[in-house]
Amino acid sequence: MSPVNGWQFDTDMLIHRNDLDGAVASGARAIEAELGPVSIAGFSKVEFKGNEVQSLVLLRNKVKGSDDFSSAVSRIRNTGGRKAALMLSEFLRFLGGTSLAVNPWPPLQSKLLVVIEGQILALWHEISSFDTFDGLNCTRAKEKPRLTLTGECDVQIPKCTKTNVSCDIDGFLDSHRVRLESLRQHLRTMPTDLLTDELERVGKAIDEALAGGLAWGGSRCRSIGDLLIGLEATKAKGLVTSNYKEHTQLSAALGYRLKLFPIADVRRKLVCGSF
Amino acid sequence: MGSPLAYASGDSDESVQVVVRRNPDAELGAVGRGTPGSATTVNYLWEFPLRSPPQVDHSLSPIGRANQAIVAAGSADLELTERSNAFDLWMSLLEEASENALQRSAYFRQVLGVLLTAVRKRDVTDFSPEELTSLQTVTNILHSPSVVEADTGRAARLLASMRPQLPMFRAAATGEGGPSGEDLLEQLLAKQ
Repeated sequence: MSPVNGWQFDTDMLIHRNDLDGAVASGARAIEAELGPVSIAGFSKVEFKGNEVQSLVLLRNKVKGSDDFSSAVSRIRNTGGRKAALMLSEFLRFLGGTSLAVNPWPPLQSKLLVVIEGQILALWHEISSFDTFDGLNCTRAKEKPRLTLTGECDVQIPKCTKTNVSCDIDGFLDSHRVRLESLRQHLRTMPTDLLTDELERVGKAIDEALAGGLAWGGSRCRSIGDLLIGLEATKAKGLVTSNYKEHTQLSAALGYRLKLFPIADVRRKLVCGSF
Repeated sequence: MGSPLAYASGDSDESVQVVVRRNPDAELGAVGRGTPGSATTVNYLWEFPLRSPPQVDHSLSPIGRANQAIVAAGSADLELTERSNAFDLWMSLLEEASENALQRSAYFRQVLGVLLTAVRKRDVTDFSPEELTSLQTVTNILHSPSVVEADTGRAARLLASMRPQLPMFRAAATGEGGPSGEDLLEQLLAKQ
């Protein structure tokens, strides 16, 4: 199916599919099933790698570099917080839960590495199997997490330079010039209390782009990811997101349909089923 | 895979005699008990016709044995009971391999990990013949002398229909399936 015929999932929806809260994960998957095959923006893969995959790699690195179970747990809690600790607990649950032997450490360490590294592969493959809009031909989106033979896990997202990208960000924005003009006008006239930090960054980037002097590079795209994903959504049936602050404004100006996933209500178990 | 073999599992259990031998009576459906003390003495675990029991060479590594077991699990010539036992043996051998994977390459671990999560404590009857073929292919990848990066993508593709993504967090968040995530960590830490 062409992604043009379907709805597009925002990056947050990809993350919600594996949320800490079971109601959120079930809700995100339910809406995906309800809407049929959904697509994603190529840039969402960059954001997903920077969030979900990085969490798995943190877990993997702490397990790999720890001398015993308690130090692994301690390091994971200290650096990854509650989310990483709960991720670890789910891997432990899969491997046997409370019946697991934590001594000696190497067998458990090995089993944990196997399933964590396997999940990095499985998750990335799943994300890559979505139909993808990538009008800007993002170089970073094409870079999958890499494990090297020496055991290093490379999931860094390099800063973009002229020599390490072949994307078409200028052409992409130019093809949406009319929409960007509309958004600039919208941002200038909207109530200031609705103007978020990201929308401000979007406004500045549009000003520069329309003036022909936008300096890309570094990690600038990541600071205006909502704009890039919103522009990709103009080719789809619409965008599904829980990020209402930015996308309510962006969709009104750029002209794409919006389906909001009521994340706060879902967390409070006020909503279930279809949305 | 060769001729029918008498088969018994549990090579680490000395109370069980593991014998691998040709069974000339197999095609006739006879039960071979042999003569005590003779060269053909066999302690059969199963006293029923051994047409084509699971065939596993115990001199092989866990992955080598797993490779043989998953072939047996998908064999149309075997009874369901035998296929199921072969499948369970295959899973046990994969888990054994996962305990000793620290010295293997990260690619090997990735393929093994995605295989384990794809199967997730299911039975042989949960898989279609095509899926069993995929499991055989991926196990064979693990058995190859070196697993390379391209193999990881191939394994992920072959196993994608089995949804190898772990249902992270849901059991913990809903209180299903045992203690919460934090409680589980504390209980395991107490074992240290």
